[in-house]
Amino acid sequence: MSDQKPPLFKNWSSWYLLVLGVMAAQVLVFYWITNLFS
Amino acid sequence: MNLLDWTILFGTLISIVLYGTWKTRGAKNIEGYLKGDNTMKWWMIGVSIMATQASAVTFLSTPGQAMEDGMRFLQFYFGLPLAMVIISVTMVPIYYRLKVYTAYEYLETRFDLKTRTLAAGLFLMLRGLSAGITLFAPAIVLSTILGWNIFVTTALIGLFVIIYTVSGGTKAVSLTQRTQMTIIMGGMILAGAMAYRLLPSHISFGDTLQIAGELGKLNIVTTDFSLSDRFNIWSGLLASTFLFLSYFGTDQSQVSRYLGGKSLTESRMGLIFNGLLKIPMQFMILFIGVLVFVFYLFNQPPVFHNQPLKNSVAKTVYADTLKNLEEKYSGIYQQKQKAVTNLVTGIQQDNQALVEESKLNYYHAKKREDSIRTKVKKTISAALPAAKTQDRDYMFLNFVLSYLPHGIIGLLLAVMFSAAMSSMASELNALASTTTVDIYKRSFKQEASPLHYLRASRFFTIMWALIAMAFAMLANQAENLIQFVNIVGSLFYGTILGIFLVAFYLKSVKSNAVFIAALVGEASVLLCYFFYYDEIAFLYYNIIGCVLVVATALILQLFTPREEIKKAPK
Repeated sequence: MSDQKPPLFKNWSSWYLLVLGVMAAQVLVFYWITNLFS
Repeated sequence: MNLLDWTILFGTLISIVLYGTWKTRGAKNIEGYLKGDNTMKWWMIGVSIMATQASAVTFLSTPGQAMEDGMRFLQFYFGLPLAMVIISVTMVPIYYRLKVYTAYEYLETRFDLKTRTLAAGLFLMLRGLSAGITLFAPAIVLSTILGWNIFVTTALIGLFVIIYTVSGGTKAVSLTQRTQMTIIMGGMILAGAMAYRLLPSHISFGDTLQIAGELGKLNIVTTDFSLSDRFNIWSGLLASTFLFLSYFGTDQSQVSRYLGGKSLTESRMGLIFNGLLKIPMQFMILFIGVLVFVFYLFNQPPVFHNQPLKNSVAKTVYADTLKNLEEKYSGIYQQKQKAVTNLVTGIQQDNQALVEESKLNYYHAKKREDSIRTKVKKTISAALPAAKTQDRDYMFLNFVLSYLPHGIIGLLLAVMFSAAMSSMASELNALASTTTVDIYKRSFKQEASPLHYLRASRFFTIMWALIAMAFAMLANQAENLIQFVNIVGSLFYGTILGIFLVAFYLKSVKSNAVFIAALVGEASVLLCYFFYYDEIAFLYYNIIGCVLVVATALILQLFTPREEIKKAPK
């Protein structure tokens, strides 16, 4: 059951990397905004 | 509020209740009532998860939080995507394999009945309290506007939720949440656009950001570490991850959302959906608060944001004192506005010296303004000793009622109520399913017809709604609603997560060890809360509780005579 294929990507790891990547990118953008306007 | 606002408000709420009740009428068994016959698609699960988490407290308190403390509260959500990934990888497949109704059923398979009952009991305590606060938040709104007693408004909102939750169960909860989230997101985007549109025409969007940044409101990421600091990147990435692991992985109000999925894939995608969209959504709500903050730099804010309470004081012997303080406050505002005007000039002319000088003048005026506000609160306390003088939760609402056009006021109030109803419905549904499955069916009446359990679930939904209404009265004592919700969660989530982590990853640990460890962990967290509240920020209770349960369970198992190994699920 845990081997069910995800949509769009070949495996679940790609989805998880996407979530973590987006989170990391958001933190970096927010850090940049904080410094830019402080 | 005029007729248009009332029509939009009650038209929206009554439509949601009728739609949810009618579309999901005729639930015939507990499977359909508690799991919605496993028909939910990933986007429905995602929306339902977000709607469950975002209560009215989110929309009432969060903009006020940004107005006072800036946007650093956003860091609280940094651990959420990480938690979504961990839950998708580890917990969801196990729940699916075991075909459980509740997360706590798994604990009996892994340990024993007493551990399952303990975890379910902790959940019921935590969620029962939270449901009360969830209900209280919109009750303040209505009582503020109508001047009604809080008891009456609490009962009215509770009744709305009871109707469709009791009738349609989890399917009604999910169905109505779709409509509610559409109204919520649309309303909040409109509020943000209106707040920006109400700014003076010579203030560009870039200026708005510069002003907010210079006055410390765009402090989204703060990197200084301190155990007593509630919101910084470290507490967000570490402590919040534990909190969200427990909330989404072991709290039945969320577990029931994705257990209603059509398949494991749909459930996982629902969690991923939440992991991608939650931070942007919170950013938007906080940013609306920042826009309102900037708006109040150009328009005099009220000295106290809970206007009806202030008006009540104006009818007492303290009326003159209050009037004098308000006059002083107006005088200080004139000085503050001069500083703001210079700040804008400095920003637009790129004159750093003027910017710095204006900021000094602004903070000087702000300090005097805060001092007046403190005196106003003391006057209110003296006039009405039982009154709550914390007005942060009224800031956004007061802005909506004072400055937004009719129609939009009604819509935004519908947003608050929809949010409250959506999360409360999930909570009641989860409380009822845990009480039915983990307590009633397991320990009191094991052999009964599906119809009997369906009736029991409905009865427990009503029972928990009544208990939530009672707790709602206690929430009146809370300092700030959104923080109170998170504090209550943090008191129990660490321990619950610890039990589940031991269950998932430490196969050598047996039931007695984890049961005693859970009691030790919970006692320690309560000790921190009662004796070290100022020294240790509440978010760290999640780590303390969880680590203590895991470590104590491991140590106890070492000193426990070998018991017969119960086969753990693979």
